[in-house]
Amino acid sequence: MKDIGIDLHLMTRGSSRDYRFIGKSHVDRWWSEYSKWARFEAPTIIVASRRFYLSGITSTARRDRVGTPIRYVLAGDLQTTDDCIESNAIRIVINLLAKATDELEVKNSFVGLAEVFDKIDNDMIEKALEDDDEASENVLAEIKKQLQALPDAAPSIPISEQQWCSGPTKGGLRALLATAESVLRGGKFDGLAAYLNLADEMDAQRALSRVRFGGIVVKDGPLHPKALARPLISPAVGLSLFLIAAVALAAWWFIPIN
Amino acid sequence: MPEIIYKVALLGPTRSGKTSLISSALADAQEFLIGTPAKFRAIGSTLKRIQENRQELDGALAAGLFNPGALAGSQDPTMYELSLSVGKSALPIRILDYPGGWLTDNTPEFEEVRDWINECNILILPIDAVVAMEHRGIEQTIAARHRLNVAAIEDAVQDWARERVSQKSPGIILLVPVKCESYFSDHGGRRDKSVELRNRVLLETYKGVIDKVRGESQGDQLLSVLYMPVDTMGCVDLVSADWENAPDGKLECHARYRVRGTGQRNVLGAGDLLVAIAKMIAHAENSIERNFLVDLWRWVTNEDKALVTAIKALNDRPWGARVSKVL
Repeated sequence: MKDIGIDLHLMTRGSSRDYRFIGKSHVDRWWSEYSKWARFEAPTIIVASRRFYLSGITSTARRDRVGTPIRYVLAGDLQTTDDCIESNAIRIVINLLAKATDELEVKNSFVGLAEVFDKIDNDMIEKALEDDDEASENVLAEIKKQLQALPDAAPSIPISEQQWCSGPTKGGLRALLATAESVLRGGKFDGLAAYLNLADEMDAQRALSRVRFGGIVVKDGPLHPKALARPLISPAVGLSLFLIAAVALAAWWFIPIN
Repeated sequence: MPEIIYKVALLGPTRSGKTSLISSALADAQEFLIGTPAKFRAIGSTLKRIQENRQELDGALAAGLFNPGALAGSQDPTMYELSLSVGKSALPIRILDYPGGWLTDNTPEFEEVRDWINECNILILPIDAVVAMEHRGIEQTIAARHRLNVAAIEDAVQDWARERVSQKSPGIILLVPVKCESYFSDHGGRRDKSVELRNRVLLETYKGVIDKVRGESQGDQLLSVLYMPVDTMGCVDLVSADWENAPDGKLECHARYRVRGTGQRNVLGAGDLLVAIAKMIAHAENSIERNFLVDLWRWVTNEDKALVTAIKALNDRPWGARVSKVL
């Protein structure tokens, strides 16, 4: 199969087997640093530097042994230095995010996207979860095929705000796609585009204080993307300055001056 | 200000109700603390997580049937951040929840969880009461042990007990059967099978766990085991429990429940988890050399006295009627 330039990781569960990533390779859980702002069992989107994470994709077809609908998590890293392949990889991720956010505003779910994963043969997924290498490869190949077949998203409209926050409205989700595209094209630690389901506006500001630019969609956010003021100094720099000032003050107080 | 963090871990298989147990304990907490100046509070996003779990539990009671399948299982580790506070002084408590399947599969991720478990003073073992009770014959008994993941739990408990003893640090194991509504008559149930449940758990299925703790503690009083059945829903009755073949080729228990009365959740017994945590804190607070600044703050604000009084009151509180000391 043609290289799509994305290293994909799929997490799901079987009817009895618990949630785990398919395949034997170690998966870096880089998204866990956002866990205080998101319940990953519910719809979540995180795009940071050259990688993305989508969780809370609830199957409409597969259920576990107590009848709970099974969820999918898809994480990916852009893994190419070829400009042409990279451009195509970013297009695929944006199409995926567009499909994910399609019904988020109305249904608060990734129901449209679930269909993509539900097309994969259930027995093959069950085998892949039992560490069957061939089944794992087949599952990931099938996902790549499905992702390449996604319809192209509408061209994104660049957003002027450097850092913004919005509710899951049409405008907010379009801004999310535009920012995600910039983040994927940007360098390491440059930006962040996310839908964090437990966050509020203050949390969004905190999450964005670590990056140069970005936007976060939160459940009860404003109807339209709202620019967030960047703090003049980061909390770490502020604390350092405070400690330096405290030490200087103590030195001035205690050290005798001749 | 750096503070001591009290750590608690859950040790249970997938779909055993670990998250719901934490949510139930917090639901019980405020009522349980009436008359004391102390408050159990969920911190940060923990409150929202608990609220979402409660909504799911309420949703599971729709249309006169209890559907455990309405509850989403965990897929990532979650740290529940709580605090036991008096005035502005707060004792931070962290409870780690994680996908139960990691225990079975011994995944690389479980290594980090294992480190956390071994640092905990309290280990909570949620047990699906229906699976523990409703098995007949050798085939179903083997399947029940497999579904409850008893072998992996025995190993993890032994590691934990060994670590406690080597650190000379006290530890409590709480054996907590959940979904016990159908086996007790003290909370609206029609049948009393509480003795049978106790025997099934303590003398049969989890006997190995208790023996491991006994073996590691070598006769001293450092480690203890408590039996603490909880009604996590409080308004459901078991209708049937059938064992059927699952895709993994082993039997699994399919339980059906009906909802009692108006279907209002009415948790019972989860507050005792908090008594256990308070007792652990009371024990630890007496022996901790605390940060000078923390001590100074408490002394200046007179909260030290209030905190000690509150913890002592919690520590002196008797266990609920269902709780028994096993070891």
